[in-house]
Amino acid sequence: MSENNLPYQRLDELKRRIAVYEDEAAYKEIFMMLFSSLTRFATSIVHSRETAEEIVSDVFVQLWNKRSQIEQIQDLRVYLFIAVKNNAVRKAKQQLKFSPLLLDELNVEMDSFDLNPEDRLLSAEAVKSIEQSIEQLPPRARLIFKLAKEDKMKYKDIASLLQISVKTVDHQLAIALKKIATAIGSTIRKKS
Amino acid sequence: MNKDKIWHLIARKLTGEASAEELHELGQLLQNHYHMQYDVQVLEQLWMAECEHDEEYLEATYLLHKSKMQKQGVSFASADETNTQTGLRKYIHGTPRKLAILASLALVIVTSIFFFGNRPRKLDGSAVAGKAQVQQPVSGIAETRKANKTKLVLPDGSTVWLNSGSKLSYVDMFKSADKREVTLSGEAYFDVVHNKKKPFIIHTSSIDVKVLGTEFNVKAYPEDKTVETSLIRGSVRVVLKNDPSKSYLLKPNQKLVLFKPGEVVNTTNEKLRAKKSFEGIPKVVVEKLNYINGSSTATEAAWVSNLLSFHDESFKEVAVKMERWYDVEFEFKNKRLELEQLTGMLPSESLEKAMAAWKFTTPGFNYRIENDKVIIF
Repeated sequence: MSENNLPYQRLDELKRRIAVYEDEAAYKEIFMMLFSSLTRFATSIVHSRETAEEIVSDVFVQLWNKRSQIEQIQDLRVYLFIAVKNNAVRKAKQQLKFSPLLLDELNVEMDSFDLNPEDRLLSAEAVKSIEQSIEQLPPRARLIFKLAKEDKMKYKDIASLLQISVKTVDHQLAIALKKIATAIGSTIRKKS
Repeated sequence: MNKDKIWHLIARKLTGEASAEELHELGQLLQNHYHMQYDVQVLEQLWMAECEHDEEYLEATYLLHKSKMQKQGVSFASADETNTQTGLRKYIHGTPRKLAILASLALVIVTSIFFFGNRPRKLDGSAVAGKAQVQQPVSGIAETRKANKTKLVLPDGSTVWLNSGSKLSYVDMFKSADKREVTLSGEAYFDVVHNKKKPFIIHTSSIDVKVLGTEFNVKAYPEDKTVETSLIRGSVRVVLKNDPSKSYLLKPNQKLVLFKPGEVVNTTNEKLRAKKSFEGIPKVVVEKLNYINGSSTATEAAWVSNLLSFHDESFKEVAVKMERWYDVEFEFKNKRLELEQLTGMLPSESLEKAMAAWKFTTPGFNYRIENDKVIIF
């Protein structure tokens, strides 16, 4: 619990430093903290990493320009995600000839995670099958899994970002975990 | 206890969403399903695994970002300005871009992938645009139900795409030696074969459109507040029924919008609103056609290509279009939403997809589909 709350508290402090002291170091810290997640999220909408980076960078410019008001933003992280989503959707409309707006059509890229196969719990084979099972999740479940795990987002924030219900988030995440666990289970069974 | 419940509990535990009772319940469940304990351990390990952080890449990206800001005239008050200036020079490439439009929680409107799918909710096997069957009319009436479109070739060779819920009659078309006449209620796109000696005339309840040979769209649904004539190429003359002395010659890429008398039109379009504030005359506005971004398809004629597209239209107007398109009924529980504005395109191959895309791109409204009814709230 406390671990999950840490980034939130940190962001609140950084937010205040920016608003009150125009502290560039605090701004940079937020940038470093969130740039990758936001870019991956935008990439899932615009299907281009370059465009996604530009979108995220633009959103950060706006953040600085509005620094005097940012204390009014309740949850800065969710705010940035929604801003990135809105800009990505607009970009897709203005400059690209497509815009896959349905969750099922998003192209969700997962960050590679540092699962150590040396660990006594997991064989290299198991790690591989976990990665595969995540890869094979439907886009919507994968996106929700990603936002919950990598971006440590709360159910209600995922729901408002994706315009779906909390119940759907709860359900999709349960399905995702079940599928991943099934993949783990099957490698074990094969072994024995 | 169903087995899926445990996955919900595990998910809630990992995300920190679980209550004390739920954690307790999970503990109990795992004791009964001890074979799952291993899975849960692995999942926990997976969950805690940190993502790789490429510090170097992020540093370089940040410098690039900062240089962009400085080029835009945004600067930091901090003292290490000179220091970073030199430091980032080697990273700078590309040209400064215009300030991006403010990203905010505000409503951002739509668009979606161009979809050339089949019509959903087909009531029967009749034609759909794009894959339309060609009717060979002898004489009489072509009519489409809601959620149906059709394409027909008239005896003179002219092609007509008839949108949902429309009616075209051409009984007297060839009786006259000096003109070709049809009567339209609803919406149709015409590609008229050129014939100087026999002008083609479309009668609607409030306007007549006279053409020699050209491509254009006429939207004249009896229940709509406006009648629109959109010209793609060629030229047409629009004559007002109630004032035949008034006629308008349209150039390509223009559209004529006629407001029916006595109608209060809810529009968010500034130009139209200004025009309307004059009581009585003129109730006609000539505007440019709206082209879908990066394409040669005008929004006004997009339906012919099976595209569900909007330009500066209120939710209410969009709903009316969708009602015809899918043969459903819209109900606005929240009347304020009726005036919200929409520009863009929705996937057209199913009502469900269109609504999902609409909602995804337009925060601030909810909907549910009940049988043939869409409730907006």
